[in-house]
Amino acid sequence: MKDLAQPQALRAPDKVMSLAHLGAMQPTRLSFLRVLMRDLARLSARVDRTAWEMDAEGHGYATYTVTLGAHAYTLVAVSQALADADRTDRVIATAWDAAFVLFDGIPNVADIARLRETIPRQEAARLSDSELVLSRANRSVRLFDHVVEALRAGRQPKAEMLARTGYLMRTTAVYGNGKFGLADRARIAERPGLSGPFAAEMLTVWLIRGFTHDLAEHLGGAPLDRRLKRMLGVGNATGLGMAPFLVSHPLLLDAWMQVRETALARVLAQPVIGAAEARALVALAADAARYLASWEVADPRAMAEIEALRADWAALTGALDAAALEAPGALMALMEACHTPALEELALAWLLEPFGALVDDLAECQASPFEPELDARQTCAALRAMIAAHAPWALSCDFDEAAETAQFWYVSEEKLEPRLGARATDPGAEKETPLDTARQICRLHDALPDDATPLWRHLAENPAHRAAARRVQALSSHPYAEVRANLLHAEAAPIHLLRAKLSCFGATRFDPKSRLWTRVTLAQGLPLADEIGDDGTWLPHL
Amino acid sequence: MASASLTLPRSELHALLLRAARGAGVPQSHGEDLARAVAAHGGSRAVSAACRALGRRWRVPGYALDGNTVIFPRARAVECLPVAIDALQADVEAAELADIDEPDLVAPFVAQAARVGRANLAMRASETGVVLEHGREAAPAPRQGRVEVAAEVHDLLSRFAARTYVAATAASRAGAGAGAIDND
Repeated sequence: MKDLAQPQALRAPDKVMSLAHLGAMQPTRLSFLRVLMRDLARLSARVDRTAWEMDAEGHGYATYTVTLGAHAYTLVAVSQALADADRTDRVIATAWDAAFVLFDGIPNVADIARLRETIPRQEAARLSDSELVLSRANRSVRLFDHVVEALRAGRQPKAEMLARTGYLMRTTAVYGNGKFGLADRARIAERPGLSGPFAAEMLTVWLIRGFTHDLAEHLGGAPLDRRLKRMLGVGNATGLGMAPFLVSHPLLLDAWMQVRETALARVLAQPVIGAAEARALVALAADAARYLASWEVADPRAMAEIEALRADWAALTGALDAAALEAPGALMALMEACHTPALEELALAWLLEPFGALVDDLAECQASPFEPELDARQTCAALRAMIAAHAPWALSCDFDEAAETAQFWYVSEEKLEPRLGARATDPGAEKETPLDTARQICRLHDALPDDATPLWRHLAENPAHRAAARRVQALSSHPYAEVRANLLHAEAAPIHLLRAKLSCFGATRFDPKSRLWTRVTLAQGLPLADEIGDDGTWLPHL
Repeated sequence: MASASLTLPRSELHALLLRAARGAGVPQSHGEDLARAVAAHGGSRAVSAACRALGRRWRVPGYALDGNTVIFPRARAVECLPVAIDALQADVEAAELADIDEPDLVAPFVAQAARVGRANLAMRASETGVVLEHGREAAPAPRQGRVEVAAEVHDLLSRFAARTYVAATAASRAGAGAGAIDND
């Protein structure tokens, strides 16, 4: 594990872990897809399309094998007919345009036959230890058809249209780590290129992207321009299912955020920066402006936020001068000039971008198999003091107010997916999922005697508070482990949690459709299979 | 005739046990400890033991202190093992689990306590049950490979887990995200 010692103070967890900042995060060079691209290059990975059995309608199967170190992995893709009426992004769907599995090794004929039959059933299937990731995708119909029609007509599709949508197909779920019988992450956690969080899932998404290009070219009967292909990623529709993960994996969340914050601190701690980095920052600022200019969404509120960010970004970076950036303290001054969460999070991602040599090694610290563990040696008074020091954000909630508990999280018996209910009107609150960390901490605090009672004895008699106790204790060494908000509050929007997690993945073009779900683009601007060697574009634009 | 069984990845077993414990009314952290211990260090017997244990109504465990030993009479493993390990990590020298209901759960909990650095414990049989005391055992690595779970055990755990599920309604589906048809 690399040294996470901080060169200077990191940003305050109360700020970083607020919903406002989490909901404004942008992808960085430490996002998992970018890390994967560097790992593919480091390992001299090679991708071979080993089977392409597609009919004239684009239905059939394909396999792609990628070699990472001593291990080979194969994406098996099954493409099938889907009626328009069945094409939905909802997780409760039962049929898709294409289904995928990442196979551990090179499948034989029997494996292929089994997987062709199995993976289109998705959640209804039972996978084996040889399968690492399961996914499915639907076509973005208008763009897919436009691309195919253009190629059939002997021309390239319109670049603006490609850039606006950004993908030919959209995944609606990417499952790993034991789900539906898939292999445990432990099977691959030590392997080259797959040791990072969600690395196998990211590899699958990147391979799916190549498949979508090939499928369009197959149906169009002509190759897509390489530059256009690079601009086509994979879409993703993400709903509530992703949100509880950040609460149920506090130390993993802390690892992701500590790495990000440590990287920023390293960059800002440089007494001065070189001329090359200064020039790169100027160029990247212009890239970001172009990305923002091309980022259009339908939701009026989200669009207003993007427009505000465009203006703020222009004000911050529009008159940047490379020579001025070489002055001592110039980067810190830029960060301090950020007056909104959206501007600050974009600036963070921007400032990391030219400093790979300084920050990329931190990517090794983004995996954590650990969970909060109780230190039972404490006294109750000591834990009370710890709550006051590390969780005032929880104590500030007044849980006698109805608004503080207006929402509740639960698991729907339909596909066992997380949902969010209104406590006043929806059934099921008695089966609430325990994502109420702030409330649990408040209850713990209220119940703790302010004396030298051994903590273990108090918790033995009050076991309902033990989970909160160890989460609070973890905060002293893992300050970014908690979303510092009451997720039961009427105004606590899950979309912020989705944005945070998807940013860590490397998603771009957040396109929120409500406070509950969003579309994004993954792998846009990354190298194609025959371009492995660079780590792609930070914020892709034409 | 052997009964049917399923082989579960350990992470899937962890998720199932976690939900089952919650459905059985076990407090959150005790359920988490059970799921982590059995999924990381248990086998088929431990899973069956966990299933039986979850079938008993949860109660706050009673205990007595005898000098530096904490004694749990009529110990129920899921209730007492987390508390016993807390006590041993704190200032207690030994924990006696008298008439423990599911002795097959002791080893996974002890292994997990060592693995996460909470306590290195030795266990021995006593006249009345099992005694845990400080030892020098090295922390074991988590077990690898899938766990074979008897079909009736899986079914019962699934039924415990199902107690945490809420029936879907048209309104809840509408609020979950995405449209009914997405032909864009």
